Amino acid sequence: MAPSLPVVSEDMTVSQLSKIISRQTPAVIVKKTAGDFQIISQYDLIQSL
Amino acid sequence: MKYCETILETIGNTPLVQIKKIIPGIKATVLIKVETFNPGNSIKDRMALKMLLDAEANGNLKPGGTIIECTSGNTGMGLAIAAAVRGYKCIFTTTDKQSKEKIDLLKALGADVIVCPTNVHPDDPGSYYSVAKRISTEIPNSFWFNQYDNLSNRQAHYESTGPEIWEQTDGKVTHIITGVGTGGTISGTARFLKEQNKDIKVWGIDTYGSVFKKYHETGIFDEQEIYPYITEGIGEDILPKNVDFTLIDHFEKVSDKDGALMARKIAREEGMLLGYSAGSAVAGLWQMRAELKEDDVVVVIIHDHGSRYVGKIYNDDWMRERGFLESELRAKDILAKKLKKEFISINPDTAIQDVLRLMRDFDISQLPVMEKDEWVTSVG
Repeated sequence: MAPSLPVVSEDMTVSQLSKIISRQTPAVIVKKTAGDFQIISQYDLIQSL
Repeated sequence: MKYCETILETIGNTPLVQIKKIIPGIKATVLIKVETFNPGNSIKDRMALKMLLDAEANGNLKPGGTIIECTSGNTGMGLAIAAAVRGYKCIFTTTDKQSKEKIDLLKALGADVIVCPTNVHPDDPGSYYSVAKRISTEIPNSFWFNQYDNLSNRQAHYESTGPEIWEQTDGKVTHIITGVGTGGTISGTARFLKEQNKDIKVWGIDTYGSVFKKYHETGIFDEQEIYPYITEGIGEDILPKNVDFTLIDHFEKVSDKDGALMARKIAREEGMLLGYSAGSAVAGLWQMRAELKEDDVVVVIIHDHGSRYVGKIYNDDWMRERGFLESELRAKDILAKKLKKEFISINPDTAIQDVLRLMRDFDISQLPVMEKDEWVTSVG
């Protein structure tokens, strides 16, 4: 078990995401405007760059 | 009853629409000749019909014949519409730089399209000029229209675009600005307007990577000026016969980035969804703003509709990949690119074997745990 993943807005920029996603926090949960959720992992972040 | 006998009668008589918001500080009256109102959504309908009618009249095109043309899409669209109405087949050659949307539109009107490489010399047997020329000799009863050197192209604008602008502005037009590709639009329109008032200034918009500006200013055709660029529909690596350099007062080069950004601005602030070269034309006007006075009446002739560029300049990813957009990627952009869209979560009672199976089946490293509508932890 690990600490809960942070929930972020879908408008968060990549530079802000980069500060949050780390070894200790390997992913974030994105709350979309429509109300549903998605996940962005360290892998997804690296892929996008 | 008021109706047209065929769609071809709707070509021309497009409106002039004033723009203000995107050109702050310019006191001159700036009007866009919105050629997207033509049935093929571009100015090329005018010259396509004229070339076809002239080819029929001089016997180059006979009933049941095949129209061959090298076209980046808009001329093809105009020809395909005219051919459909008048009963001809069409085969077009185009380059792999052109948007897929443009090519699909030609096919929708029944044309055959041959896609050729962009980065070859026009004389190369694989170039879209050479391929069009060759197949026109191989297919019986076919005629290669060759919009670059076919002077019916500029004559169409001498007979329609020029007189329309003169009439719509009550003869007050002082400047025309338009992108130069085949040169038909600028040369035909300019000739008519300069015959009415020789003081009308004619500014052609060129791109970086094209030969026009240097040739106009120095008389030198410099192959060193030629390199691949992204802007569509303007600039050339050849000197088409339709360009009458004596009628053009100035060529202004606009970068790929500035043209694309301006097109987006026109859409978002003026409500007109126009093509790439329209952005270049307005960006060129902006670059030349110091030359304009308050009582000037400037007509910017735009070529085509923005729907053909939704996957390009109107697509943020496409813009970012080319360094045209400086805005940073956001979480939603990353999500849009993800191949796996499923969001898998578990609750505290999920059995360990189910957790492992989910992680294996969906190839994921993190599983958020939800309890009473709250994210309480994660498994990874």
